[in-house]
Amino acid sequence: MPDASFETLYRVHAPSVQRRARAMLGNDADAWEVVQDVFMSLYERPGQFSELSQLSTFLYSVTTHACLNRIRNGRTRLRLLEARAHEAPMPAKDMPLDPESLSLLHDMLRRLPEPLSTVTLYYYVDDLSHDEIARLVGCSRKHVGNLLDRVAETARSLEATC
Amino acid sequence: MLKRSRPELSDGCISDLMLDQLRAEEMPARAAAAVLAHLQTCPRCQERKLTLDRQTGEIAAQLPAFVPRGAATGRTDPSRGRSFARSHRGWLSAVMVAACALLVAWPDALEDSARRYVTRSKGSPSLYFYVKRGDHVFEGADGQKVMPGDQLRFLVTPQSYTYVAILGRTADARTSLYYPQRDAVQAMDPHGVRTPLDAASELDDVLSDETIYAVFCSHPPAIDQLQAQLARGGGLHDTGDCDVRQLSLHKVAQP
Repeated sequence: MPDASFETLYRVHAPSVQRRARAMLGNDADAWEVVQDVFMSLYERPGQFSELSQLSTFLYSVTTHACLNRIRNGRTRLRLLEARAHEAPMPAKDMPLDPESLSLLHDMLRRLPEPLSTVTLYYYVDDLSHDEIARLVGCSRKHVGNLLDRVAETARSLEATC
Repeated sequence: MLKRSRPELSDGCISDLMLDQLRAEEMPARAAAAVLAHLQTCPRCQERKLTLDRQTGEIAAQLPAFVPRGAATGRTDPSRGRSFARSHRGWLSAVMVAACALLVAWPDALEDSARRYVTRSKGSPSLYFYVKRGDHVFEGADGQKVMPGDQLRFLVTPQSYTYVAILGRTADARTSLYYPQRDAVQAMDPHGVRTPLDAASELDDVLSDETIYAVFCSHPPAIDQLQAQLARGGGLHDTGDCDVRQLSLHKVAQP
């Protein structure tokens, strides 16, 4: 069983992991699985956190990558289709992007290489500033601006082909 | 067209990441103070914080205990790939059954539970508090664990009321007056914005659970009578035309 400190850590941070995963993936079932995966990984390999000063920023990064993996491997797409067919939609007030925008974003994320896809989620879903993204990604603010220019360019080219 | 989900944010506004860090007590004191100062003046960020607090509360209410894979059966990996949502479906069902039983058998308990819920709907006064522990400042919640030496600062949204008194009663029947700390209560401008009270209290070394009562009135409350009522026991539920909010603190020893 996890010790009390890990259980406390989980209680404090799991809600924000679930909230962000739901915003990125668009459904609760996938978001809960991301919560499980993220904390299981941290429980099994606590050393992966040691070089970072704040657990929140570490979890932002890990959660983002877990969500990107799901978007890329298509599990989330299938789940979204199932959810639309059988379940009530997520309350719009709790979702930063409407379903159509989220679907378009997922299409784009599948085409974008790293770190463009990560930066895209931080900027367009989390609404983080260039400075915050730079700290999370580990690059300069100017580089974040360049990456976001490339993301916008990719988005325009995708729209042109649709 | 790709758009940010919150295009209205300005440069000085607070991101969700910062609000998460504030809630997780990870923010250095200076940064926390800047965030709290911004929250006092920015309706957009106040609204965003309320939204995140609500969502966090809803998710936390569904959060199952963390169980490592294999812990229950001793097998190495019995539930890999198993949906968390599916895995706590039984737990949710048990909660629903318990809630139904509570509804039928213990209506008083439900009523008491509702009365103890701190954050009310728009239009009702509310009580909040922040804890300063060393260099860290974080927002407290009902049932918050606090420690000797922590400093508490209360905030209220008085709504239509102009006076507030904040008192506490510990499990061993000691009473405290947190606000006002001067001779007389100060009149506030009635409004729905969080108002920090001009007093902070440092917690003593006695380890005990404590219930905090905020009594909102349209007239200066009779502090002596409230303290006497609290000392007699039973809480502060019958205060005439005043409105009472309460929350609990759990004081534990420093690690």
